[in-house]
Amino acid sequence: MGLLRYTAGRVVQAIPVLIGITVITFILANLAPGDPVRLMLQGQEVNQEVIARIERQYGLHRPLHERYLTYMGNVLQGDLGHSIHRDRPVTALLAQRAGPTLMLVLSAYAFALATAIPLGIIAATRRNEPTDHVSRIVALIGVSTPSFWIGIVLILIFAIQLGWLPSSGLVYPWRSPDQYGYSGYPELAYQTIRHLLLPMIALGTLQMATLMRVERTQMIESLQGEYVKLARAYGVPERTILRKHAFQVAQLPIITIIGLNLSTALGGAVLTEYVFNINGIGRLFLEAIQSLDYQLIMGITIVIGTMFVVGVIITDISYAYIDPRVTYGEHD
Amino acid sequence: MALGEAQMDESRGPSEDVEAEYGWRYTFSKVMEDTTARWGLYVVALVLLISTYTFIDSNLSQLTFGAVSDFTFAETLPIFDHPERIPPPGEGEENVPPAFHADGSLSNPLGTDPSGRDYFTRIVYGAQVSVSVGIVSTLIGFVGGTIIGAVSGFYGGRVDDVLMRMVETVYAIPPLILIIVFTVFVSGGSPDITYAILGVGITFIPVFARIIRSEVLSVREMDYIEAAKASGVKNRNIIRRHVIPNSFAPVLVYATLQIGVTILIVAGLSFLGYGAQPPTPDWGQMLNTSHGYMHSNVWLSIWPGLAILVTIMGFNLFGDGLQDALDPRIND
Repeated sequence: MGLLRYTAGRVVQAIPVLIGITVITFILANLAPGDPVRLMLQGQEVNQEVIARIERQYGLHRPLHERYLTYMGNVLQGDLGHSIHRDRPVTALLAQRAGPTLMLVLSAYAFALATAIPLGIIAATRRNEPTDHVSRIVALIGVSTPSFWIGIVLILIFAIQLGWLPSSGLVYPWRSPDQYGYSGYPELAYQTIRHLLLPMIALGTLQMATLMRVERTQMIESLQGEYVKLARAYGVPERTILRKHAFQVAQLPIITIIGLNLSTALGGAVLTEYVFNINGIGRLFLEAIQSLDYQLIMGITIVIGTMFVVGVIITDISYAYIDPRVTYGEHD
Repeated sequence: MALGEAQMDESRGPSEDVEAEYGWRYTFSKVMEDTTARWGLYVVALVLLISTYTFIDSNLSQLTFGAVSDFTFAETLPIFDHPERIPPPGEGEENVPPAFHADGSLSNPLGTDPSGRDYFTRIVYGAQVSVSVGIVSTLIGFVGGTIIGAVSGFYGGRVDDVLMRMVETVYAIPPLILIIVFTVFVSGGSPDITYAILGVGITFIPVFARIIRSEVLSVREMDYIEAAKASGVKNRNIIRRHVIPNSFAPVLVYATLQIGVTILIVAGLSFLGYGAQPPTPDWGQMLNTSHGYMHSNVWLSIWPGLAILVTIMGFNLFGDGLQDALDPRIND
């Protein structure tokens, strides 16, 4: 029962944050110096009548707080406004572009976890040996390299020099193979992986590096725990200790880091999508910024902020669910 | 390093009595004992030296000759060209490969860019932009975050609740996205490196606020705070004289690591075209230009990325070393 209340509490706590996100985006987008309509039109010469019509259409003649309340009312009904430049509802545009971004971010996480956890454990068990040093250097380089440059280098090596993998675009597994002219589903799956490989590594390296560092420290700490000493004293084989005693305890902080890193990953997706020409939310954001498409920019920021908040809530709850020590009370 | 020392001196006061064991000189010697941290410090010192030199150089020539485009002192050295000078057609050769290449020559050690400018000079001058951006925006975040975090942690209660909800809100939007929105709208559609610095600084205020707050929460319970309160010292003075200096060490470490993160983000901003604008030599912006020449000249995309990597790695290694030296828990 406690868990249910904890979950409800977390959701309630998130409401001010969600409101805050809309306020920040709204203020930023509306306090821009100069006339928003002129910014939208980007120096195109139009007569006063057109400007007045646009102002009326978007309610720009009304005071700021009134506009905010109307906007929020619409957001609560699932309406994020209408993109002027594309003449389509923002929600439709977002829905269309969400797939590639989710595919990219999730695969990057999968890559990061699949590499970081084994490497972190190896580094922890062989502490201060060459293996440990190598893995620390890899982690250090991973933390210090811009994700977009990793993408560029990967393209230079694997796409341009070796010609093994494609350098741009993604293949979506949810479409039918005929749309791409592939022979069938096996080829579709193969091409999906081929296209996803480089962007996945580019975006996932930073996550891998941070997760690996945490995993290493956690495992070292956990291997020094009293319960491990006790298990050793009882003659439990080292492998069992590693697998059953040390490993499980060490994974808890990883869950929190995954949630908090979601923000970096979503930001990194903007760069990765730009480098690899992927038509996801990140590219949509850049296009919206380029054309100063107010409604679209606000919509994207709100959706991405919400994705992060939801992600953190999910990790918090799963943390509480997995770790019996967490009290479902007040904590930060 | 200059920055670090200045900050260290300020906080010397309260820790004077324990200086023999835990003073800054002791910390510094511990950092120098650690091989990787020492190398980090060397790299940081080198990058700072280069950027100071180029800063003085370009400003002196501006003062002496009225314009940067006339002459810089660096040009008297045979390996330097002017960082912003675009040679007239026919004079500068486009895309000269680096010196180790068969067609390269030592007069352009790293070759030239598509406009015929010496790439080595531009990389060297790029240090100035990255480092000043990293330090200035970290300082903005540091100062703002210290004030907000200290107030929030010291007063607790409702003030803390409101401030922390605000902090969480800014946290929820990926920095890159928030900063792009900020720079584009605040600059009225013509982004520039100044707005990028401001944007990054403001965005990082919450991150610092959070760290100093948790420090303050533990410092608040100390006896000397109780004593100060009992002797009638004003809250404002308690925060300034006791709370902030004693919560300083972890934030200082964090600031060092944050400089690396800031350089990484601003490189991303410039790469997307929302940071430094051409012809300013900036590593991220150079990667943006070279993106179009990935097939014809691979090296154009390699050098700026390596420069970013080495610089950030320097700050990270130094920060890690500082952390180890200040936190006896991690030491064996």
